[in-house]
Amino acid sequence: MGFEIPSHAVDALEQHMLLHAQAAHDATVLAHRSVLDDVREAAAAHPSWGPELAAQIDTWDENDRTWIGIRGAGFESQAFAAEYGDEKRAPSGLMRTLDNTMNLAAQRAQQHLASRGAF
Amino acid sequence: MTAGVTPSVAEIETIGSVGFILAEEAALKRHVSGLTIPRPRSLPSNEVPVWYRWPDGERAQQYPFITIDLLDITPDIERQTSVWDLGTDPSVFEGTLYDTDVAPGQQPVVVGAGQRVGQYFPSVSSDSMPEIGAENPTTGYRVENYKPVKLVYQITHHATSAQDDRWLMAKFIIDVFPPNPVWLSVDADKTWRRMERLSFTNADTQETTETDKRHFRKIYTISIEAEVPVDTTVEVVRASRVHVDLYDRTHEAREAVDHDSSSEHHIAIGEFTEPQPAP
Repeated sequence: MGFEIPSHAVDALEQHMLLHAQAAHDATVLAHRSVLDDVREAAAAHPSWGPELAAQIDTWDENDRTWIGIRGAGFESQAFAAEYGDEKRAPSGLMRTLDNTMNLAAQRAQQHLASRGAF
Repeated sequence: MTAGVTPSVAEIETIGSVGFILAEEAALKRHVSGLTIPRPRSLPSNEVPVWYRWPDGERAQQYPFITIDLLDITPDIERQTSVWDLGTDPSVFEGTLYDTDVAPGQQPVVVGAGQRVGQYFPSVSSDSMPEIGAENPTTGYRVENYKPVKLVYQITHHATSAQDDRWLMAKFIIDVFPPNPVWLSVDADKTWRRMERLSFTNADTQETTETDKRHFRKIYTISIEAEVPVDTTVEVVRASRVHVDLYDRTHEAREAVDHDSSSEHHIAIGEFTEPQPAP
């Protein structure tokens, strides 16, 4: 016993799935971009971070998680001091207070998915 | 509720009426204070001092010490969008019963759950506390709701010896910020506030300008639940005049409820029904 699926239906389903996959990928990129832009902007305006250090901030995926921070050891100690402070500088807490930034990025990603009919 | 409330109630006592942030920060400082590192009998045991930010250079730097830094005040989206009704289910403001029979200068002792009696909540009015949802039967004040926010703090303990560092770590992890939930007793309004330990960072390797000293730093990032009022009372005054309209009971015409008492009234006296002679 079996049933036959017309090839044009399979093609349509495959096309539909590809469109959704592309929309999901684009939404992820959009969310990364949103977070990165907002954090870099905040860092550039912060006296402890500044534009040079802000330009080193990046986002990436690793171990099924999205990370944001400074990649590479070159600016690590500077970024650590800016984030956690020392006897001269107050801590900025920039990387630990991203609730609003993340919520905004999630909203933008969801709007993108909705606009593509994938949500 | 804030600002000048006159003339039926007293002026705000800005020193005594501790408000938003000040109340939580004072509670937080009290929460991390009082640690005394045990020493051999030959050495004095000093209480670990607590500072807001790194202490000034003029102060004699005594290690170990603890610093408190406010990082952020952020909307608590989860609580703001939850269906939790603060008026009927005030779980955040679960009352704390204090033993008020304490000597002057001593901290009140928590003896169990009870009715909230403080003045903050988060008003800074020195008058009676407003009630959520329903009017206070005495004052008639009420507030619609509060906006939940989170205060994010960085708490750091600094030490110059590994022994002190480890002792402080043990105390912090077991007693000061144990696994969630952690509750902070806010003396200003006698409430318990939920705290979350968001992260722990080992910063021993951080270089400092004090290059001759080994510097052990452990950093705890925490959040504290707080509220800001949606309503703001600018002024409360007694009614200076009462306007009463008299209507014929059988006539349906009425002035609007919010009509201007000083403008012309539209219900003419001629529309009143003639009084009927008594039978």
